[in-house]
Amino acid sequence: MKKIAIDPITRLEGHGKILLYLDEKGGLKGAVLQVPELRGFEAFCRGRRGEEMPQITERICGVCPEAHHLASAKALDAAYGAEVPPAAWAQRELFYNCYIFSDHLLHLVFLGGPDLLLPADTPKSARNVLGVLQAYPELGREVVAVRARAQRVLEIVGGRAIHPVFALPGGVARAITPEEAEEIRSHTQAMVALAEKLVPFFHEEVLPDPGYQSLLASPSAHLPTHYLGLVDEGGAPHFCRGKVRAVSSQGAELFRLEGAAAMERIAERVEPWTYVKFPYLKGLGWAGFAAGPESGIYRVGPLARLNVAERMATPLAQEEYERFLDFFGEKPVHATFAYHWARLVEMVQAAEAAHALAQDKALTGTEIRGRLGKPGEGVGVVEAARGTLFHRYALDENGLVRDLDLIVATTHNAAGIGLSVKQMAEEVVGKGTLDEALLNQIEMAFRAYDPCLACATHFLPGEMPLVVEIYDVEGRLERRIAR
Amino acid sequence: MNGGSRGRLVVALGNPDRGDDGVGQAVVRALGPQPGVEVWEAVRGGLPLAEALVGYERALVVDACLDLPVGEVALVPLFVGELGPESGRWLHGLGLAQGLALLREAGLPVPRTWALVIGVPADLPFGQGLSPEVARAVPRAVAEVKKWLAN
Repeated sequence: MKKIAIDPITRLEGHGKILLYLDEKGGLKGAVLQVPELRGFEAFCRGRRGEEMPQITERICGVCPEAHHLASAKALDAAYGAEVPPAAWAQRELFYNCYIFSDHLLHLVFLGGPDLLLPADTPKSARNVLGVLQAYPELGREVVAVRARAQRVLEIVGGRAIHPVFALPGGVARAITPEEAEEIRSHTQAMVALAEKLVPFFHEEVLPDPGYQSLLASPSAHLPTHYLGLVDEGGAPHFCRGKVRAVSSQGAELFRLEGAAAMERIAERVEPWTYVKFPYLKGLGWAGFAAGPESGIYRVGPLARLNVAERMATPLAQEEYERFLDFFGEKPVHATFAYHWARLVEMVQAAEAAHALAQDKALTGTEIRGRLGKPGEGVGVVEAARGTLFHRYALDENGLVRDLDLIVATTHNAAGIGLSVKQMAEEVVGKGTLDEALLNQIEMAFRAYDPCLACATHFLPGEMPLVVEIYDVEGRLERRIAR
Repeated sequence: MNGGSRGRLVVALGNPDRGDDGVGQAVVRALGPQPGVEVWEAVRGGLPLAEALVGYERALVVDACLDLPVGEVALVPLFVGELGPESGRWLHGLGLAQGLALLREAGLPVPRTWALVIGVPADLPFGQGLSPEVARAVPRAVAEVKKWLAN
């Protein structure tokens, strides 16, 4: 019987691929993440009207269109020199916190769930969403139901289910009515209630687990890179406003800059064997695929945001942040599997912040669009759930896109993911026959970052969209493993 | 499937900036507004789309399809089965049927869902507009949507 796939067939292209390079003795010499390519996207956008970009760019990603939508609107704010009114910011921030909450919740319970919530000896057939639902049926159902409420807020504010249409250069498209605000408050209240429940759940069911403890303490998952993320004026993580702060692997501030200036501090390394560019901190330079103080390699995402922060923005999140720092006893925290815990801390902040914004009178304000100046250049930065997202546009005098540049979260993390995969795979790769063990190790390291690869729907539903290719010392393909 | 009370929904799925992948949008735009029916355009599938369908009684997803000959049109019921053991190893890649199954497992009302699929070529470069073969299929697809609405 012919199989017909009912799902979008485009977005990002190609398969997520990990390339492992062996040395003369069959040990692991290097590991590289090959992220899908956006061939032709930039050329397609040149000549388009600037105000179309929030809709065009959100279509490039099936995982976080919300992030592209707002990063794009912010780049246009800057390009037009527009002052966004407080009511418009209240809408944007509410929307964005609901997106972060929703995305982190999904990852924490269902995507990372098999690694975090199920015993290490759980058979492969049960290490999935179904296994999590069977192990924690009530929690699973509540997570799905509350996530649907967060999605409803995204629909109300975003103006449309699934794909937002509300953010415009200088503000948003329409005001929120008092009735809508009331409905939103009921949803954000449920988000906070679930966040309050998930924190003790994490400490009772996840953190004490010897498997997770050993991952957190594992030298194979300790990667001392630098970190980058947005912070507000008080030094708390902010998901869609503030300045870009970078801290070194030893915790010293490297810079705290507006988006455009921060982008100037990032260079991209081009390697002859891949089309993927590897961003690094220009001031430190490229020192090869290595972590440490001399390397320019940095990481983004939940762990990075907690490492660049000086505090959290909301009370419950602050309490959990303090427990997080007490546990590790160091800052920055370099444990790759702390990404999961950091996600919890951020999810709590997102819920609390969303509820506070839902109660803010500014949300129903009617002054929602600032005056636009002449078109020029602008950079918009937001924190996608999985890391920092830059959009830079140069508009001509007619407001048409002359040039653009996007740096997405998974690209920032490409070198870090490759290093983590190398660390985790090192022990098993030389043994030759442990394909499943190798894939599991890689998958866990990979999954901690929550990279954005599965938007390529060439993958059969439910499959791990990952191909691993192992090359011998002569550069010949020795093995190809896929699932 | 238990279905919901929000009535009928037609969703065009696909990216109009990727040539023939925009055939779903072309179909619903040619269809025009229909009384008592919500019509959406979406690029995102999988679990987010499944979540957006919650509460509707019946849903029709109009989508481009690589598995049919170019220009061929087919209306197929979407089988929302049980979540299998391989479901959700990578949740962002969960298909629409599996997303609906997950939501149903969680007790949410998911709609009876059909897919109207139109065969497109494998090469979908950036750019707007349909190829002549796929454009010729649009009136037939519109007729199929009308038939689905009438039943």
